[in-house]
Amino acid sequence: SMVLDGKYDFLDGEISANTCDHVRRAFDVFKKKTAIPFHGFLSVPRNPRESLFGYYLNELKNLIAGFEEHFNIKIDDEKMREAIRTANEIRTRLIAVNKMRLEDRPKLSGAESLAVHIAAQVLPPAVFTDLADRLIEKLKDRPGLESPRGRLVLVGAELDEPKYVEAIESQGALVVADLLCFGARSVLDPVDPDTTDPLAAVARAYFFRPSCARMIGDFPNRWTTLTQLVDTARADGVVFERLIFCDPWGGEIHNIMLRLKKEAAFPLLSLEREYGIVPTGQVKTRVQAFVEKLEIARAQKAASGGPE
Amino acid sequence: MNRYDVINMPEWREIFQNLPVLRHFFTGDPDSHGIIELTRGISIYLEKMLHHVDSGHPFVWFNLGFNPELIFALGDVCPITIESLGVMHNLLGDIDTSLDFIDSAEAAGLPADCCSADKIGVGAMQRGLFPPPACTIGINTPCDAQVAATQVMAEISQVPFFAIDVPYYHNDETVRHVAMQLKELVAFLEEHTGRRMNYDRLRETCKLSNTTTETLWEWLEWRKQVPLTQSSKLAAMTLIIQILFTGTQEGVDIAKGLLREARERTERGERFFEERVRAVWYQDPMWTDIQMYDWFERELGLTVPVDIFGFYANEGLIDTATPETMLYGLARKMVACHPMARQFRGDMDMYIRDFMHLVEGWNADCCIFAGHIACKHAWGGIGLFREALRRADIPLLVFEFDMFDPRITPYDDIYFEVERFVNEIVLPRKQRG
Repeated sequence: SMVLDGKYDFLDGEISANTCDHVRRAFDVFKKKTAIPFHGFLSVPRNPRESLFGYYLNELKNLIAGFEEHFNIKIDDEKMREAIRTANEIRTRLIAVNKMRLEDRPKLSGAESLAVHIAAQVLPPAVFTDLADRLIEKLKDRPGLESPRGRLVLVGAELDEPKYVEAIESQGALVVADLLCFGARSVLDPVDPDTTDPLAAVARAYFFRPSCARMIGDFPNRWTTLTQLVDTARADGVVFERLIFCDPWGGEIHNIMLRLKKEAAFPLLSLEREYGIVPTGQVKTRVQAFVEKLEIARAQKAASGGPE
Repeated sequence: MNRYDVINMPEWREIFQNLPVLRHFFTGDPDSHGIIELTRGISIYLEKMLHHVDSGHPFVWFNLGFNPELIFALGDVCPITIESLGVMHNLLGDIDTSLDFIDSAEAAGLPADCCSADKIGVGAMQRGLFPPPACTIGINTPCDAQVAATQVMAEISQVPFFAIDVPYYHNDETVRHVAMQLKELVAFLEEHTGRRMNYDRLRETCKLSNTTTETLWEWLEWRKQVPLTQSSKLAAMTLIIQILFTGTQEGVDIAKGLLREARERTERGERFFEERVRAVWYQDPMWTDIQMYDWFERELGLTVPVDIFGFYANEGLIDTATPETMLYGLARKMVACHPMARQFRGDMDMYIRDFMHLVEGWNADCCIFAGHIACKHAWGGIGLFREALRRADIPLLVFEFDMFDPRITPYDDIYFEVERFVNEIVLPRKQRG
């Protein structure tokens, strides 16, 4: 609707990808209904295997060629290396922030962390790194947060509303780690800028990273990543959130529930949401019940002599 | 596992019991070559499946965006489309069974807003209704619901899984990219089925596939005739043929049956009703009750000469000269011709362009967008589609329903919408000339 109201016409360009059906159709609308002069597109392969990597790399090269032609610029290896170094600066700050969340008393809440991750995506890099440095410095002295009712891992797709995470955390449990598209899952390890082919290095880092559910055939890896994170974060449970109408993550929650029947790896709460609306009451009620369940389970374990 | 293990499952027993009854019923009209061949083809398909079960042959599951020629070419390997049993229940059996599939898929966590085509596949797999596979194949077309279903398929089956990536673009590079993956797929299938690809057999399979395709093209030409003399409900048969029968003699026979019927009825000038309005049904058919099309014809004089499931683009046949040309041709079939995959995997331009081709070629008066509610890539483009039809001055009916779940929109509501559209919009326009 913002497109149709002309709110994006100030842009010089936009780039879309075949991440999902919705984004493909949004791209159709962007192309036909805006005055944006440049439209780029990435057809990202649907399975992260080596034989498809070349296609992805070629897509990036085509996109670069499009930029160069339209904007009359040149993107060479040196510029690519510089961009990698800049992105690495962002990555190291986010890695530091995520590490602080894993402490026994996390230095920041899940909502705060998500806000930081979103800021990393939207702010100019130099502004972000400056603010992040100041934040990290302040966080060192911040007393850690209590999570009296439990530690949670939040997993799911697109979520750019810290208020949603606030609603989850309002019930006394903290989101100490996440695998969200705009959250910790988006944070790569620093990429080596000094390779002979910096574009390929960046492409490889993105293509083979912990994937979104739009990647077919990669659920086993996503499951391993999730269970390892639950372990690392010493989490008591997992909250899964999905935007209604998101099919790939719809398949994902089915598969997570199926695995849990076999492995009982962690308690799970599955939430559905609509974009732009935070149904605080509903979320609080569901999370409250879930957190109570976690507390009861911990108490029962303690009573039976097991670790809490 | 043996055939009786399959037949004794209630969900299969119903199909095996109903199919002979329906075959007998349809032979009551000996000129209904299309339906007669289709029911015969399904009988053969099921018998082959049971033979494979008895013989302990490997099975390969896949989703409906894939065409099974490569699997047939391996010899005694049985392809299973995971949506097939639910579709058979809609066409031949009790739709309550496919509703049970939907409900159990949702109960297992697949969200209600996912496509019911995938829910019927997931529900059938959950119940262990298909012989266990040696491996599975998932293709990302036509849509994200298939992306979800293929991953559920991989997880439920816990056997090696091969993903085929079909890019966004309509160009030769896309076809070559998919052909490259089909070559990888051959090695994968050989490894996990224990069978060797026989390229001579593939050649014969592709020749049958070509014959089927050419026959379907010819059949579709006959459906351009005004008035339409062959039943509207047969319009969607192309997709069923391409998913279940392509590369087999049954596929050829069904296509020839459809063609023969269309030609004979047209040449005889048979008319059982007065055709008043011709519509391109440009979305999913009403699988839960395809007799609805009979009602449209009799009560409204509304015919559907072609729909999106029936149209098969002429992008070329499979060149059977070499293994590489065959893989290329098979790739092109799946990405450039396969209904829905062709129209929806890229931008809306292809969808709109194909519609304009259909409305002109098949002499249609209007478009019915029967909006399957979970079809996001269709609904996502409805604004652009609507605008295009407005510019072209083509009347458009848009309504919501679910192609496998009649609980979403009652039949009465659909009747009402279509009747009003035909009588109050299309006919007055036609009469005004």
